[in-house]
Amino acid sequence: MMTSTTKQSNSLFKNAILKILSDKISLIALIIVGIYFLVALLTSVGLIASSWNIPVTTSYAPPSAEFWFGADIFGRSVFTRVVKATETAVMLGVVVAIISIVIGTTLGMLAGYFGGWVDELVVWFYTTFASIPGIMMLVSIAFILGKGTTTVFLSLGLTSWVGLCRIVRGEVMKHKDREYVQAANAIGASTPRKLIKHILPNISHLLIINFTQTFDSAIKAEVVLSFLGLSVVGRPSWGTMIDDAKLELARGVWWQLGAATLAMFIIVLAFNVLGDALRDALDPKLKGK
Amino acid sequence: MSEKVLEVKDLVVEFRTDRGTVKAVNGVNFEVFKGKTLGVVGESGSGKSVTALAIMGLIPNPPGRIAGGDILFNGKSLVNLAPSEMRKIRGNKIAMIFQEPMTSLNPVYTIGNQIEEVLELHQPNLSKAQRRDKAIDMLRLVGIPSPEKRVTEYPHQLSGGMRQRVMIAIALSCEPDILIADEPTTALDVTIQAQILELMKKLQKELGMGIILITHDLGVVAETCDHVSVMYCGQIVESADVRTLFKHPQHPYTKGLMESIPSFDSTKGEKKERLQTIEGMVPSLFELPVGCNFQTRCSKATEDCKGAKGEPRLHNIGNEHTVACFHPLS
Repeated sequence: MMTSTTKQSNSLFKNAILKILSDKISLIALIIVGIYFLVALLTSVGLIASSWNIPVTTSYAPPSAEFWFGADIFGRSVFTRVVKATETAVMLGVVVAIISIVIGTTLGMLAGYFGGWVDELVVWFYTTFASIPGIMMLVSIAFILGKGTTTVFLSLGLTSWVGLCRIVRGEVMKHKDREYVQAANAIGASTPRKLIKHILPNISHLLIINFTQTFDSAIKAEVVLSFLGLSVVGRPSWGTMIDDAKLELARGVWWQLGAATLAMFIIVLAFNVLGDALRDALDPKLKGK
Repeated sequence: MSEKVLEVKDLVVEFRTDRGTVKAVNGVNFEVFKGKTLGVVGESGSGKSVTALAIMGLIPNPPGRIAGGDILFNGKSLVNLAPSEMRKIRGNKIAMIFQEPMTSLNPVYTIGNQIEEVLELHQPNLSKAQRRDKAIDMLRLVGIPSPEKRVTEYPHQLSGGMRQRVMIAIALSCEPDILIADEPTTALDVTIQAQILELMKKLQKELGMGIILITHDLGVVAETCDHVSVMYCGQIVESADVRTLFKHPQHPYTKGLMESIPSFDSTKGEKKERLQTIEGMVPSLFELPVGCNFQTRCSKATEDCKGAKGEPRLHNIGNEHTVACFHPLS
C-alpha cells in the first residue's frame, strides 16, 4: 500500500531552498546577495572601509591600480566610499522591507480575515494612501520628520506596504474558508491561533517574495530622495554619490557615478533574479512549470 | 438502551441573505447514543452539514444563527455557550472529520505536529515528548504503517486514504464522546472507503463514542449506521432503525432514494432495468411550497399535501419509526 523507500521529509520551504541551490543562476544571485550582506556587516562593525572619510589622494584622481574607482572632490577613495555605502543600502533595504511587511501583513490579514467594517476601514485607508503620489508622500514625511537616516527609512517604509497589503488581504480571504482552517476551527483553535499559526505560514511565500521586491525598490528610491536632497546624511550612499556626479560629469569625472551605479546594478539584478527564483520555487501555482 | 450523549431538539438554523431569511435547518430532532451511529442522509442542500456545524457551534454568524431549539450535550445546552467554553468542547468532547482529506490538513506542518496541536489545546499538561508519543500511538491506532516515520511527514507525502486516517487520528486523539463525520468517504476511492468505514466502526467499539455520519450514500448507511434520519429541505422526513428503514421505507422520498441506487444484480433477467431517479429538483429554500416540501416531486401528492392539511409532521408509526408524510407507503 505504501512505498517502503525511506524518503527525507521536506517542508515546502526546504524544497524551495533546495530548488534554488540546484539552479546555477539563482545560486550565483544568492551568493552575490550574500557577499553584499557580508560586506555591509563587516563595514558596520568597522572592519573594512573605515577610512571612507579620509582623503587619500588628490582631488578627482582618475581610476588607478591603487584606487580602482579614483577619488572624489576631497581626494577620498571612491571605492572605499562605495563599499561603505553598501552598509547604507543593505540596511535601508532590510529596514524598509520589514516596515512594509509588518504593516502590509498585519492590516492585510485583519482585513481579509474579519471582513466587514474592519475590511472597509483598511481598504479605505490603503486606497487613500495609494492615491497620494509616492514622491509627494516621501517629501512630506521627510519634511515633517526632518532630514536624516531615520526619515529615509520611515518614509520609504511607510509608502511601500500597500501592494503587499492588497495581496495579503485577498489571499487571507481565500484561505480563511479553506478546509484546513475549518479543521483548525473544529479542533477548538482560537482566532489568533488560526491567523498566526495556520494561515500566516501558508501565505509566507508572498512575504518572502515581497521582501526581495521591496528591498530592490527601496535602494532605487533612495537615489530619487538623494536627488531631492532628502537622503541620508553623515554617511555615503549610492544615491548621494550619483547625485554628486551630476556636477562632476561636466568635468569628465565619471567614476563616482560609474562605481555607485555598478554596485547598485549588481545587487538590484541579483535580487531580481533571486526574487524570480523564489517565486518559482514557492508559488504553488507555478509548480511543475 | 445505552446512554444518550447528544440530543438535538427542534433545531432551527437561519441564514440571512440578500433575498431574505432562509431556514436551512427547520425543526430537526434527533438523539445520539453512546457507541451507536446515527446516519443523516439527504441530497446536497438538505441541511445535513449545517446541522453538523450547528452542533459544533461553527455556524458563520453573520449571516447564520441558531434561531430556535436546543442542542443538549450530556444534558448541557451548547446553544448559548460562550465562545471560549465552546472551544474547549470542540475537538475535545465533540470532534469532526471533513469531506476533503486532501485539503483539510495544513500543508505547512507535519502530520505529527497537527495531531500534537489538538493535544496542546486540550491536554496542556502533557509534555512535548508525551504529545509526540501520543501522536505516534494515534497514527498506529488508525492503521498507518510505521507511524514513527510517518509522524514527521507532510500531508503532501500521503495518499487521500492516509490523510483521512490522519484526520480521524486528529479527531479521536482527545477521545471525544461524539464524532461528527461529514461525508468522510465521499472524496475517496471505493476500496479506501470501505477501509475507512471499517476503521471508524472498529474505533467506535474501542472508544465507545457516538457517531453522527452525514452522507448521501445509502450503501454507507446500510453498512455502518444503527439509526437513520432522512433529511429533505432542512427537515427530517423519516427516521428509523436502519433495518426497518431499508425494509419498509415509508416516505416516498426515502423510497425514491433507495430506488436510485444502481443495482448490478445480473440474475434478475436478460432485460436491464433502467435506473430509477427522483424527478425534479430540490425546491429552492426561498420558494418552498405550501404544505409538504416534497409535493412537487411526489407521485402520490394530493390536495392534502398541497396545504389543505398544513405541513406534514413527524409521527410515530411504531417501533421508533417516524415519518412526516400524509400518505406513507406501508
